[in-house]
Amino acid sequence: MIPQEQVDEIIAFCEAKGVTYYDVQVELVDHIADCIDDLQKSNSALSFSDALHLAGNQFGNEEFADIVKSKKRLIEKRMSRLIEKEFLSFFTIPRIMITLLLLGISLAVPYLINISLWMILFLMILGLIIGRIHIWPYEKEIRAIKEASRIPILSLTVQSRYERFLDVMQILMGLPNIINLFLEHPDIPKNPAPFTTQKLVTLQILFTTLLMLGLLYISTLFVRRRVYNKIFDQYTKAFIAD
Amino acid sequence: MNKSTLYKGFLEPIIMRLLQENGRMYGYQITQMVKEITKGELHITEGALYPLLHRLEEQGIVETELENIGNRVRKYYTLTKAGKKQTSVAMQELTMFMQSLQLILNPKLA
Repeated sequence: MIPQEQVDEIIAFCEAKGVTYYDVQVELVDHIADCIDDLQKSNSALSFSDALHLAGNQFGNEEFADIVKSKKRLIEKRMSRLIEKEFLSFFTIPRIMITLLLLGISLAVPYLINISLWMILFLMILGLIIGRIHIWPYEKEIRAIKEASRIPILSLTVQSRYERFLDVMQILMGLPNIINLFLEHPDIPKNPAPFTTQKLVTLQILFTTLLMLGLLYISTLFVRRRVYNKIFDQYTKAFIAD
Repeated sequence: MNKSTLYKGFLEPIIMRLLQENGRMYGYQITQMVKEITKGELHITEGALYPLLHRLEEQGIVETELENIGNRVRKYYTLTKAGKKQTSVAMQELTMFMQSLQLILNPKLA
């Protein structure tokens, strides 16, 4: 068994080769250490640094990068698959019925009662705030695990395609679009019933899109939380301070 | 012809078979065992082994566990239930493939 200082040297060697992530590094360090052990058993005169050089050379320069790249690709795929599954699990018949009912009610409300666009906007923002408060503990838990890792962990940094999509949508669907809805009609605040079918359809599309994006975001949170907790249990060493 | 090109397509069933025979194994152990069994004929490069093991893990064919070995951590791979079934199928397919190959190389056997 090679001593701790030499294990640290192997870790530094892996880091120099671009393997900085603990979840990839761990088995490569063990591999190189075993290889060094065997090399020194067959040649007792071989120094540690020469053995490290020989063991490291067996990998080749590009192989280190290839291992990280392929692992990254696989994590990305897995995360996307898990998020897809989580997202689709929402669409059971009772849940779809309730959602359609709520959408129907929200569509009918402007016709049934005298409600202004400002009120709808207020209700949407209120809904967003309530939703945000509801998911806050999940976000907090995810952030806490991420911040607790003292060594970079690849599984904590790789983003799925859905998370990247949400980032882009956040920018595209941001405040400018909602403001734009009002900019075209500067007289709206003075007019308590400004509804036209066109505006209503725009609002409904916006509402449905926000609902779907919200659902996708919640799915990513649920999956992240599950995956992060698993990583925390599996790679406990990466979270314990020296 | 390059030997490693010939072996490349068989790497996955080889690893699955080794895991079936030996229960749990770690990366270096797999490379050494293959080297030993094939008397040095087949050398699995680390750049081929680890991406393959990671892929098998993602596909649910193998599962992993980490164990502290003194001052470092070792990652063990074990076949899952689905992986065991898949290994049996892969072995049957490989046997059939080898028989077909044999017939091409030695038509007199047909």
